[in-house]
Amino acid sequence: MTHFARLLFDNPWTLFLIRVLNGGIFFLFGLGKAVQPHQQFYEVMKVYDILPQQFIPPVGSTLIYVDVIIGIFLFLGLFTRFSAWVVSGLLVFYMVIISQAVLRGIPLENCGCSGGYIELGTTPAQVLTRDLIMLASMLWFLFAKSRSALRLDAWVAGSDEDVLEITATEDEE
Amino acid sequence: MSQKTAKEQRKANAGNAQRSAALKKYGIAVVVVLAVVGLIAAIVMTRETAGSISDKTPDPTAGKADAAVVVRVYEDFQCPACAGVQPVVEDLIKEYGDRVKFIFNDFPLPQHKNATTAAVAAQCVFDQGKYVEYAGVLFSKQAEWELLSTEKAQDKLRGYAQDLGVDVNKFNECVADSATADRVTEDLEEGRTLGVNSTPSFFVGDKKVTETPFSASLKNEIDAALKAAQ
Repeated sequence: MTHFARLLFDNPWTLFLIRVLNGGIFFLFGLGKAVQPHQQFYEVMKVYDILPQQFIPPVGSTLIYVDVIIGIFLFLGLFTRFSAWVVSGLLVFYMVIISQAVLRGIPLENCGCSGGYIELGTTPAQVLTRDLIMLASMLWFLFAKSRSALRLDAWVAGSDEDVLEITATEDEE
Repeated sequence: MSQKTAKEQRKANAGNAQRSAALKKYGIAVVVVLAVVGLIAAIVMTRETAGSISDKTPDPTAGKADAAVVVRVYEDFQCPACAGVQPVVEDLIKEYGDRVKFIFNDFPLPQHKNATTAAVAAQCVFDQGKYVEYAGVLFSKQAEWELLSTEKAQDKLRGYAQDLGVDVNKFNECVADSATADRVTEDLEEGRTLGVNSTPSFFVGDKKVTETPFSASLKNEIDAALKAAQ
């Protein structure tokens, strides 16, 4: 990897941008669904035909609120790595769900993938491409050597973070 | 010895710092979650409802003009599910038309390339008083025009209007007028305000009806609304 590429790959501000974009998108997708009657999302879930009817309301509502909470946590940089892993896991999960529907020939008029505040892709192919790009950026975020700028985690730790790092170094020695 | 003590002291400090940081972090997380819940509640409570929304331009309607019970329909002429539910809508108009007002709104989805063209054409037929019949034709002949180029689809849509006895010159003028497209956009924005993100979407009064089959759920909701309005 060239020096420039490494500088870009591990740049805290590049990582900040990835974090804020992915967190913001998840938050808005979830918020768009949360403010609507949840029944609407349950109807979309029914189309995927993967869950027994009685599990759709609890799983549907949980997914909506997980999107909102994890999205805002990632956006703010709170429990950053945990949130980033959950977002990555959800992206994989959504991609598997959409792919299986496409492979089974289920017509997805509304895939329930956006929510109402922002529309990023409407057809399954567009949504899968979007999710793949988001997943790639999240993996970049997770495996970068630096940490993103302006994390609430760092602000909370404040000078304590330095103490923790010194101790960790001593432990390694 | 003193070096070891200093190291232990630093470790103890680090432990305390870690605990205090964790507490702060969980505290902030709780505040963030509460703020998000508050935001959701505020949006839900202040949002316009299907019953309170007012149209800037008139929408096509059917049924009793001053009915206490109003059904709002959001449709996309290129949507297969809307075509499938059209007979249900027509049956409901027949059964409840003397007691219920039906308001038809356009909600052309971006993935349907001729949906807006069809919505504009339907608005122009509405101006000449034949909306419900024309909507029925557009849905029943959806396969004929949905995949055509915009120009060819416009020709087809004009042909259907002509078959219903619509004045073609007025129709053409209306289709070319950007104000007609604005009426479609107004419907679309109104639908988004109400949280419509798929078609067909139905509201009986303020209540969004999402349960399928619509043939049963709409009847149930209309019956309940009529009973409540008595």
